[in-house]
Amino acid sequence: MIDFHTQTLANGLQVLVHHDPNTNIAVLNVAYRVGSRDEEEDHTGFAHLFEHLMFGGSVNIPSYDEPLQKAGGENNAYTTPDLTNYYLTLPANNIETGFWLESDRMLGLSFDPRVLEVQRKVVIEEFNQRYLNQPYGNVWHILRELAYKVHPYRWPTIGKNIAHIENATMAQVKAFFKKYYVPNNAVLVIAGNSKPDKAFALAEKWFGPIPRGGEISRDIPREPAQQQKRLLEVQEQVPAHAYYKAFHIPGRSAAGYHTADLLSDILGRGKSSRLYRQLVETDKLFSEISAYVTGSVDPGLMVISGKLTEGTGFDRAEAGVNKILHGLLANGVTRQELAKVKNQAFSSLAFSEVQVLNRAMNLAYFALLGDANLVNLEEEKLQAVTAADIAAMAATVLSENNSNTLFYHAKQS
Amino acid sequence: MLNRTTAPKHSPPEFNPFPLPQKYQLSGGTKVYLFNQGSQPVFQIELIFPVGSAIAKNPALPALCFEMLREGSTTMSAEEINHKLDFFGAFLGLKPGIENSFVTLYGRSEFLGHLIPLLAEIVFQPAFDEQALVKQKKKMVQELAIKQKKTNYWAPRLLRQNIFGEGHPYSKIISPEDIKTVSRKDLVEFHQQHVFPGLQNILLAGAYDNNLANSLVADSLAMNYTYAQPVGVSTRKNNSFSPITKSIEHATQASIAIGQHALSIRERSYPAYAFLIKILGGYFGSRLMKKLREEKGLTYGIYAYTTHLKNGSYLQIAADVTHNGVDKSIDLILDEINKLKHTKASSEEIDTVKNYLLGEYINNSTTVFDFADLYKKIITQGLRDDYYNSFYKEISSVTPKEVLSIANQVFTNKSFSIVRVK
Repeated sequence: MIDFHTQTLANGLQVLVHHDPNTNIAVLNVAYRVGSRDEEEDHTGFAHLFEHLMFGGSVNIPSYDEPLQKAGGENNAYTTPDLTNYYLTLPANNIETGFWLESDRMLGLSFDPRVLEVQRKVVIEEFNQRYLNQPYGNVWHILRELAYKVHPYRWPTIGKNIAHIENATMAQVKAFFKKYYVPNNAVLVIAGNSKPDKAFALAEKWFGPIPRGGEISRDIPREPAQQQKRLLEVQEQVPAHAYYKAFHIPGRSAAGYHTADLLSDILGRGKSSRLYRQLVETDKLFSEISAYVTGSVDPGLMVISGKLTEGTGFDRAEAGVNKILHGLLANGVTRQELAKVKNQAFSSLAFSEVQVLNRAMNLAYFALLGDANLVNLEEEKLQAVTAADIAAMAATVLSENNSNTLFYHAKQS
Repeated sequence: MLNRTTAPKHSPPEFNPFPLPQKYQLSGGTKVYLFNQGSQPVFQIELIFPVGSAIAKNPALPALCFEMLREGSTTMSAEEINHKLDFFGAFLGLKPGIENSFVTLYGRSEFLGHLIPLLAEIVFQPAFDEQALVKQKKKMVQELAIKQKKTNYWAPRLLRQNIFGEGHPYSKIISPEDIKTVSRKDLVEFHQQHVFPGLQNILLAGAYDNNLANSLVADSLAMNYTYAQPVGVSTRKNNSFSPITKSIEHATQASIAIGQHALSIRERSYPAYAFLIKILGGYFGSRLMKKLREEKGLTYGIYAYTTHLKNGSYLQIAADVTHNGVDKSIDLILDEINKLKHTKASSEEIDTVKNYLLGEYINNSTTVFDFADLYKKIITQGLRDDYYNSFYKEISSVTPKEVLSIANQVFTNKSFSIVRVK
């Protein structure tokens, strides 16, 4: 249970305060409702590149990091398809330094061309390090493009290719900031050892004067329901064949999301899951296999992914996976199995609320989804899922026509 | 009118003394450390064994021995173990290391009574099933093959090997052959010699019923700690290094690692040395990060840090860079090291790093699990209980002169090992 208070400033910024007197740190978390799903298809990777530019100095403060480090603080940020999240932690008595820094970069950036040039290179190195210079590093580039034909989830947050990052211009940077980095498109969470009255007063003092931005109308194309099964085969320099199968599932705040989440757990969370027991332990077709959901705001994916054992071909691997899926479709799930995946989910929830920083991020995320109260309803929603719900969800989601299969072949060297 | 150009007043981060755990010794000699606080009803229990690849005749042996603990006990099949762990929403972590290996179980406190006996069964009564071993070896060989394609898998390992010298216990790098040659007999022997009598420390943290936890630990985990550390690990120091280059087919990026022997964490001047390394490459505002990433855009990230083993400590500076940025990056790194030897750091920079270090400690000591992690370092490094208190006291009085002097003491000429993997 995360207690919180909330107020909305006149400029539209939603402020949430979670007071925890048992810690001596404070957290400031600012989430902007913009991610790679807001990008144009010929300018992908931009939301993430922009995240880097947010550290290159703001209108009144030439360096973001140094004053924070002087006050004993640390910070970081991440970009997802749905949002861009900035967070800092510092000793609670220095919390005002955080307000000063975060509000100034919401007010305006330095827009220094040198910052763009350097961060462009840094992001290209990040692209290399994480996606190209790693075995299987390009899987999500391929899988997203296979599963999504219309929705911008068809490219990953790092971008479709390096050329898009190379071509980004300062004019685009400025327009992006003006459109999305406005108080009415953001959520501010203050968590830790800061009393609500003081936190709200500081929020008003530092963020109150920032002008409201224009209304943002989103016109993100909906992914049409998939009509027939898709299969793609690729060859790469990797040591072992890898198998992926992705199905479309409901979005994070849609009614069936928790059911789909538990369905994926029954199939492939941990070594007692159906896929693992049968295909790794018994049949030895895979050396590892798991299933999980992407949990995106717009309809997401349930993904089964595994590595084939040496000597196993894709035909047998595919037949093995299909047998497990058909078994579930035919016979449903047991009560004990459902109790197990709920226990796993409750455990993850409890551990995710240990750190005050995580609590702040969870609050910001649900506030962006539309209702911060949702953060405290997760356990209830999981608890309410029945075996009949799972069977119904399986019947919709696990159909052949909703499947995107990728055979990722290891090149014979 | 709000003044946005000057920073609000801040005060130096306040240091809170490190809280000590409740401690006692089990009848068989194992030490128990308890941290009990927090509002989430969850716990983690960590079993610490002073064994690892350094003392094994085959470096793959400890890794396989610990990983095989999941694969069934004398009374339960692997399937039953996995089902029980998952049913109680628990996670089992097996972390074999160079000198210490760890078995950690995370779970909800309401299931403590089920989970601690289960953990004891998993760790002390393994079946080491022959078929499961075959499967596990295959899996490990496959995982290793994936790692071996990564330039940043090789760079730090080759650096460590170069620093300690080939044949040194710390220099071992697991090969597929090592994995393939491990037999069931090897596992049984290793377990009997090192794991069964080797439960040196138990660290239990979370919010749980203290009496229940103590009786469960006494009932299930009171083993006889009779493990004698093998003696004779070489303390030889290799001090002149030749550059190492390795090539990896199809690598789109290169990894570099630069290092040398470091001051031991137990030495008097260690806090000043740790301070120096922090300035060089220990945080996002470090000189290396500023120069190579924020100024030149050569890398996504570069870090300098020290690793402390019982008979040797070493410094490592590592980054992933473009192929044609390799030599330039190395020159810039050596140049930044040189500057620390010749020019005193400004008192402003010293103050920033002081506050950053103190703030980092405060940030990293907020939960009961943080306390356990910090205390684990005290246990495994053989430090005194007041280590953090005295370390941060020293840190708060470090001067620019001290940093310059320690830089000249440690960064002597030609003392760096340089590894390029591309």
